[in-house]
Amino acid sequence: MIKNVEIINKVKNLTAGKPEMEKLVLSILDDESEGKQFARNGKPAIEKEARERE
Amino acid sequence: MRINSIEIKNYRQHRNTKLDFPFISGGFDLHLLVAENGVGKTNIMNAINWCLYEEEPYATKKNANLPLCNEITLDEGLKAGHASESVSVTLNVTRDGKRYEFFRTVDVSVKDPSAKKVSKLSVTITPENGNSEFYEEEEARNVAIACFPKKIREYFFFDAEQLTTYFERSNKELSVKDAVNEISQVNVLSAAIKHLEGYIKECDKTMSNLNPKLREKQESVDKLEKAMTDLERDIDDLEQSNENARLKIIELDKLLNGNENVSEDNRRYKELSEQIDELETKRKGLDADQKKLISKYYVLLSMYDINDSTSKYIRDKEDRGQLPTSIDPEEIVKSLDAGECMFCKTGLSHSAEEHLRELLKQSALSTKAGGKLTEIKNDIEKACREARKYNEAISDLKQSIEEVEKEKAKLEAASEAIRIRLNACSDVESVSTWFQQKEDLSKAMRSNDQKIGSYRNELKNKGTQLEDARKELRKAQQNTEKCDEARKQKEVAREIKEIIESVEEDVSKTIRTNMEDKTKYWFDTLLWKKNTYTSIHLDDKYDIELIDSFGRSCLGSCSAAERQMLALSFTLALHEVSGYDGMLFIDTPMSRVSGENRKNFADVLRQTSMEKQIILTLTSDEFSANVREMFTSEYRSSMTLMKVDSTEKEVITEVK
Repeated sequence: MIKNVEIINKVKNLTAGKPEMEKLVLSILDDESEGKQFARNGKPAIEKEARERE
Repeated sequence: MRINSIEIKNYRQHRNTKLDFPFISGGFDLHLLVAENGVGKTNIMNAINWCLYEEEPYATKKNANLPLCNEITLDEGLKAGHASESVSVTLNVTRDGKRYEFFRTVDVSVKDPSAKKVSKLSVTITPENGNSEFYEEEEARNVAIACFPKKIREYFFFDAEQLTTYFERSNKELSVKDAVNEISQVNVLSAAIKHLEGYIKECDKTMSNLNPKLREKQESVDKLEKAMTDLERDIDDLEQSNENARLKIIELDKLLNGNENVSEDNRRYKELSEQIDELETKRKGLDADQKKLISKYYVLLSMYDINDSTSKYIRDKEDRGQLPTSIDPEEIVKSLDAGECMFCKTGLSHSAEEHLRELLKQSALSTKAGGKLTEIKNDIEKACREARKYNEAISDLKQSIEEVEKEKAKLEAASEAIRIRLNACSDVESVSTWFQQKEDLSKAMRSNDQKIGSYRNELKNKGTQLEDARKELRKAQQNTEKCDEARKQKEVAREIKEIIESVEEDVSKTIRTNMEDKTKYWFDTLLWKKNTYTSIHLDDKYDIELIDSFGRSCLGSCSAAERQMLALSFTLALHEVSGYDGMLFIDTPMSRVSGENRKNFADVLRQTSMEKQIILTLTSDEFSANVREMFTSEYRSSMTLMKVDSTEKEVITEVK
């Protein structure tokens, strides 16, 4: 989990008005902090977001 | 994250030590382990590290050479005839609402306790509401690292000595900056950026590899489809043409019904007429030849009788020896001139002379005629021979004429028969035209059938090619879709990367500034000399600079206690700024601190334990009256007294 409030707040500021993007960025960072493989979690999340943009 | 308990069995002095660190809501999460030097305080930190990482970073050289297994246990095992004794450490931790129980064990040979044995780590994770998960080996090690990142263990497990040398880079696995980034999770941002960069490259590679060439494939399919449409249209046209021809032939057959042979007769009649004309021409030629022959032989034939008689006369004269003549007129003239016979020299009598003169007269005539006859003899015979060939020649000619006439008559008879049949037909010309049309149509149909066959083959080939081309096109289209997907994925990844890069830049700056402020805050709180130091500065590499009231950098001239307090301030600031929820385990933190500073030190740790778990090991000296009062009088915390038994090989704990 991202525990650093500074990081969370900055992400929220930079993704203001884009809740999906906020969720996606934080989920990628959470996974990264947990040491989960990017290919297993981050990639599918990005692919899902790309599909939903259509 | 906090440690709930630790259970140590047969690990060095700890034969069976169980330490609980109970959490009391609203209280201080402060836990004291009080013991004299050499009792085994530091080995508790070693036991935790051994359990998590199979390392003993705080072991002294003496300790390191001793067997891992408790010596009493080994002795008892030897006496009892055990082959090995089991060493284990169980660490019970709470993290993010889940309970983690790390368990490491190793069997130590009783006879050869120093022999290296492979220990085994396992972890059981139990959520508040849910089923437990069990991990071993690699997975268990990963969980341990995730809970207690080994790289930054020096920021939650440390002793007083480490505090003194806290800012000396060489003593650490990570630089301070890296540690700050690790603890404050800036490294998470860096790792995410790295992964996103890799992912963007992957997207680029995907797009590059797919390279769909869609337009080319589409053009290829279009071209084949057009070619096939053209062929199908051509086949349709030809089939339609054949159908039309078939219908026309049916119509013609109706018209030709009963007149099937008329056209053939008509053709044959024309052919016969031509042949008859040819024979007529030939006949005329033969007539001309006959005339020429007659002209040629006319003189010869007219003269034949005369020539034949003359020839017979000459042959007769020759047979009688009258030709050629034997009298030589010159000898007669000489004899007359000499008056004597030129042969017998007898004088010529008058009668002899008269006879010679008469003979001379006759011989003159016969000799001339005889010469002439001899001269014409060959020509006459030749003329006779030629004349005799006429019959043969004229006979041949006549035979030829007769044959021609005969053939002509035959053809004329056949022609006449056909003419009679044709005369019976009302419209021979139309019938011939229809027949010709039928023939032409049949021929055209055959040609069309050949073309249709050829076109169908071509169509089949084109069909196969089209199928392949369509497959290629579909693949290219799919590739294009994949390309499009990859492009969109790249856009999303790039957007995320830009956000994270921006966060990284801002957070790095903010963390450093906050670290400076917080470190200064805690340092001021700890230090009794409040006005000695005015500020703390951290550069890009997080090298710390302590500025005194004269504006000088004075870290190098600080006392050991001040350095310890600065290190603790930095650590507390780091935990606070980074949001890191790890606990702090400090071995003899106040050994070099005394007086007011020690009290402050204890107070700061006590305050901090409201926010995070703090486990301290203290000597009796450190656990002085004022510290004891600070830690135990008003606030609840746990305190365990540790001592060793009479053998000094077994720790006895006593909870107060």
